[in-house]
Amino acid sequence: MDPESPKAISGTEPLKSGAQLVADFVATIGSNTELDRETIQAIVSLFPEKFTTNNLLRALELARAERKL
Amino acid sequence: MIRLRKVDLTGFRGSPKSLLIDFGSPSRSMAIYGDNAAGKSSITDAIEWFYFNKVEHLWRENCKSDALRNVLLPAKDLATVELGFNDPKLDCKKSINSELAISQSNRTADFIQYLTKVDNEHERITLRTFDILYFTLQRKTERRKELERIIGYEALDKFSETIASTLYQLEQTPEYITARSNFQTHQKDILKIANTNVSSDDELFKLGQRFIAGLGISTSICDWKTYENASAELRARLHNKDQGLKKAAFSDCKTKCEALGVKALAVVRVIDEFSQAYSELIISQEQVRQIRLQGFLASGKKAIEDQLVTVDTCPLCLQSIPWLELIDQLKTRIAALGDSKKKYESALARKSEALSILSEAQRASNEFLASADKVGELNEFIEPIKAFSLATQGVEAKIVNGFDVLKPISIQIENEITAAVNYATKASEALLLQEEALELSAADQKIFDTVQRLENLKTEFLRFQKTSRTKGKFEQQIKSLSGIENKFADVHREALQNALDVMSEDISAYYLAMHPNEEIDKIKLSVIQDGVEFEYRFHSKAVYPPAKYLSESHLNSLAIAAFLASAKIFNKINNFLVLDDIITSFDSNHRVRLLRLLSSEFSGWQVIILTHERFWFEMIKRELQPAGWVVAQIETVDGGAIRLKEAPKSAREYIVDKKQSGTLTANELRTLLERILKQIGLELEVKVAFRFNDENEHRMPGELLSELRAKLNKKSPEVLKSSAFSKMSVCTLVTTAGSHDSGPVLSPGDLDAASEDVLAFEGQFCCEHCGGYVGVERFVPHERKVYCNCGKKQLDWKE
Repeated sequence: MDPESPKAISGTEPLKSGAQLVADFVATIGSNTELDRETIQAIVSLFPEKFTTNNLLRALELARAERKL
Repeated sequence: MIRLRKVDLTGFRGSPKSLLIDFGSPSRSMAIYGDNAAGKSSITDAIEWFYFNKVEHLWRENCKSDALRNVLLPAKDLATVELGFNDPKLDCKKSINSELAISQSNRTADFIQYLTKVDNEHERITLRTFDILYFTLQRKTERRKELERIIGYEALDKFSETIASTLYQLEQTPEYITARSNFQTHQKDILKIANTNVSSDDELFKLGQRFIAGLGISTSICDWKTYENASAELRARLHNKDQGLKKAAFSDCKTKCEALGVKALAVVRVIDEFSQAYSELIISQEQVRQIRLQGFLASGKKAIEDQLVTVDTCPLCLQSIPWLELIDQLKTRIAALGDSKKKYESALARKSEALSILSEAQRASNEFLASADKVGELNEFIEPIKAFSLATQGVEAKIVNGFDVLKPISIQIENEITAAVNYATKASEALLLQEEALELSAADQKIFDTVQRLENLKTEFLRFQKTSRTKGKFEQQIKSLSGIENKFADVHREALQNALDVMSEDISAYYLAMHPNEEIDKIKLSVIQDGVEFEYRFHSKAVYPPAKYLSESHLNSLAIAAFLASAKIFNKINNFLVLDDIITSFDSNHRVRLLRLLSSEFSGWQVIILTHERFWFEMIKRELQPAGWVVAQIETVDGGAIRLKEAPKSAREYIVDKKQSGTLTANELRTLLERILKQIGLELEVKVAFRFNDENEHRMPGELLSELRAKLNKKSPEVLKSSAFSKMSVCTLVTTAGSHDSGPVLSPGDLDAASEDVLAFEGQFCCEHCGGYVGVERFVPHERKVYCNCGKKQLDWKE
């Protein structure tokens, strides 16, 4: 943290940005054994730049198709 | 920390040629005035694009990189945004060509690292009209989203929204809807063949083994291979094989026939359900009008959100209307159309199911036709089934095309369905007769029945398994996404609350700096369920819900306070902020305090204010120019190019400027006259009747002039005899009447004469050398005169 920042002077822990918080969350879902691996894989592979509804739907569709094969 | 030294945009957004903004060295704060649509927001867009490779309000509307180049820019030219910094090694020119390829001049590690850090840390750089406007107008649930945008936490909402919308669309997928429906049908069919449910391969194999028990074959069924072997071994035991094969073909065709009959009846059901939902949707022209209107209103709201038209302008008629008011109206009207929306969504779901069943009916028709071809002898049934298949394709097209335009859809398929069901029944009966006519010995018949049972069970089981897999796969994904959605909801809530808690001290301090006398204290923003709510104390009592007391202007202040607080926390690299037209609807009572807040709390920052509010701009000039701020205005020059020029120092210069460019209006002249009268009144201590808050600001020139006359009558009666003063009666009439839509049409001559009168009137009190007004603070008793700042302008003044 920048030492000139008022929050650094007051000793408050630096806040994480919204994007960082989401990235942290996405990193944790991989270890959740209750969730479908392919769904997690679809989210992780798209995140963050390509993470949109359409892309995610397409990735899930592909995952279903591969499962069928 | 990093500050801007210059911004130069060429061929970018509203600037066809170079628009250079020079902040000087050291990099100074700047206020830029520009009329609506003058190109101010192009500056903000350029800075946003430079850092984040996108312009949020354009990207939301799906106007992406192709909206960045100025429409007049020749294809061979690059649109460029060049930013210069107090650290010149970060200077960079970013370009986009006509094929929308992006390049940048600075590729040094220092610069790349700088950009990455700004992006990763999500530094707060720009605050726009709409960030505030939407925060102010939203209900508490939606306000949370807007607040997140203001403090740079929109990534949380975006993630939630993407998961929720994917989940919804996944549940509506026609393939999944069909799989759910077929799942039960296949279960029933298996029950019919086996008198029991079969849900796994092992169960199927055990059942198969039971079927063949006692037939004395060597194969024992324990997997798919032995299942097939058992069938083959049984077929080999048939004494009359030809007869058996023929009988099997009849049986298979009969099964296809029955399946076709079932699908044809399913078509009746889904067409009925769709027709009912669709006719409820388009039951009246009024409803259709509302549904279409909903799209139109939503587009209008979006056009305003994305500032596709100039501030406070209706996007359709281009008439002047405060956006706050317009958006509120749009939201109310869109909400009122909720019932139509529900009907639309219901019809949409029925449409998906109908299309899916129609497609399955076509597949069943094709399978029957292929099987009938093998059997032969069924020519009389072929044509009606082909006609049915063709008719289902026609219905498909009608549903798709009619739904798009919400026109009545006439579905005439009853005859084909009836024919298909009848012929399928007849064909099935005929096939049964033919099958039965092929007599087999008792031993062969037993073997044949067992083989048929094994085959039919296998077919139905495989269909069931396929449907079950599809359904299961969807459900697995839906369950996972629901789980992620729920888990993230907690993370989302906690993270936002944590950020707001950290910022609350600053938010509270900044808010109270703008509203010092309102007995509101201890402001806290709390995340509740899906929304955000303010908690604060009013006259020392806790207030809930706070909107009871917070007006739109208070919410505006709160949004600005939240942005400033988040910038102070998040900006570790950049030391500048861009405030783009943030006081469009800001309460005039608090705008001076905002300047003072910026001056005191953000004196160490480079602040860039863009505004179309002339009066606020004048305040900035007086309040902040002496502290070193640069003031400038955007003007349009020949050929549509825009450029920055030094702002006129006085009202006189402003009027002359406007007259020269031919853009002076009666309303502007009236506003200026009011400002001049207020300034003269302030300097000469003219007293007017007390009024509360905004009302005080909205005094008309007539009232101010009347009180000024009264004061001058006592203190400086001679000045009242001047022709400049006597002309003011006509001048106020012209400027006031010409400002109203329903007022008389003013000729250019009227306006010209009125502007000269205003200048002559101002000249009685304003010094042409220093630009200041004569004032009682500079009263010289022994001379009985009041002076301007430099002492060159004077006015007789009785004690």
